[in-house]
Amino acid sequence: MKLFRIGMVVLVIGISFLITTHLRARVLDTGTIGNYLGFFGPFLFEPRETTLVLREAEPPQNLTVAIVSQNSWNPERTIREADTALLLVGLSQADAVVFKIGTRGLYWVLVMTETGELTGDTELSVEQKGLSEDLLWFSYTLIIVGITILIFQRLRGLKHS
Amino acid sequence: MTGKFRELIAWELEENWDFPVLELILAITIIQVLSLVTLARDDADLLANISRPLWSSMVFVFAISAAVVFGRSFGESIERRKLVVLLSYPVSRVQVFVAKFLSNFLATLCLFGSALFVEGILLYMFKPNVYWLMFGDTWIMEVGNAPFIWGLMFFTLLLVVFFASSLMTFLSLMVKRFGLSVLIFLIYLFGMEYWAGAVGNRVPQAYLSLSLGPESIVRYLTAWYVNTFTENYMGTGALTVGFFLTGFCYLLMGGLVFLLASLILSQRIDLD
Repeated sequence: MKLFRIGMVVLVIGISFLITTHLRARVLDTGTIGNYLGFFGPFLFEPRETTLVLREAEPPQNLTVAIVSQNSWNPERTIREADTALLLVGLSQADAVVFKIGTRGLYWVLVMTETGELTGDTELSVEQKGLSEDLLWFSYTLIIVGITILIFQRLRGLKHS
Repeated sequence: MTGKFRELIAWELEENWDFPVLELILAITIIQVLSLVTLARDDADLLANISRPLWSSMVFVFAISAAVVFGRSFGESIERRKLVVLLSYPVSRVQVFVAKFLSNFLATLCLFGSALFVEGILLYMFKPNVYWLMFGDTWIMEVGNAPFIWGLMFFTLLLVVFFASSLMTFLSLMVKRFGLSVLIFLIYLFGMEYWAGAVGNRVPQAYLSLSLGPESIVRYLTAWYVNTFTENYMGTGALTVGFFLTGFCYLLMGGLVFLLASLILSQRIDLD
């Protein structure tokens, strides 16, 4: 009976997480944000579909967008010190890129020129939509573990009877 | 703790939290708590983005959980004469009452407390740079002070659960019926929510709400902490000491009065 309760609780937590993952799938949009520094954030990027739109940049062509972890860089440090999680090269003003960050965490978005300098007047927007993969896998894992415990308990019960 | 008392608590937990009560409350709590967190915002504010939505969305969960758990424990056990059977054993009414109330209260508190704890973990795992943007652009707190605010939220949670538990226990013992006590309890709580929500937040009775009351307790005590122990200043806006005391005393004194009344009632109640 105890094993049945443990299995049920794990299963219910897994299903609840799955429902929550779907509830959290709503679109999160920063709207248009801009500054004269060329870097933005830090943003919490979840492992789900992220769209970045370069609305305006100075200079407008041959732009590189780097997504760097907050732990590896802060605005007081030089760009060379940054540990880049994702590098998008050859972009122009008004380009939109869709990417997915592998690990949930806080990231800066750096917009650079071809010489590696941060751009001047820059405007962009970031949008996240879809399901978070980590939460999805976590809920699947819990559901499988819960079902396995319940099956094991059932088989054990059949064996004893 | 005597062996008899421990056995009573174990029996109560096994009997009252059986399938699917625990699972249902767990599911509602997880869905409510985790779906409201807006962690992706760059300007997360612990009081406005976490505390306020938590209390407003959790009123429903507190109400349903207290109604089911305490209604079953007291109302249903009188209705189905389980209490009579239990009292045929060499245990006093006080022991039964305390064991029932304590076990259910602590179990409920653990459940909601763990949800709040998980939310805190998620926040600090994924949003370690949370700050408190209160008025205009003034950053008034450092991230190192967050545990104090989180502690306040736990303390307020304790008050809310205590109040809801005591009220539902009292109603269950009063009417001796599970369904009727749940109905009265929910009408009272949601009626109060509606009434308190309709009067605006500049009158004391607004703080009798289970969403605005706890939120104001956390906010007022945070301001007190900031102004007393740090070099920063935090105003409380429309929230005065009178409003804070209204919310605080309603939960604490209301809970104590209902608990005491329940204890007296449990001694004098006719179970036949």
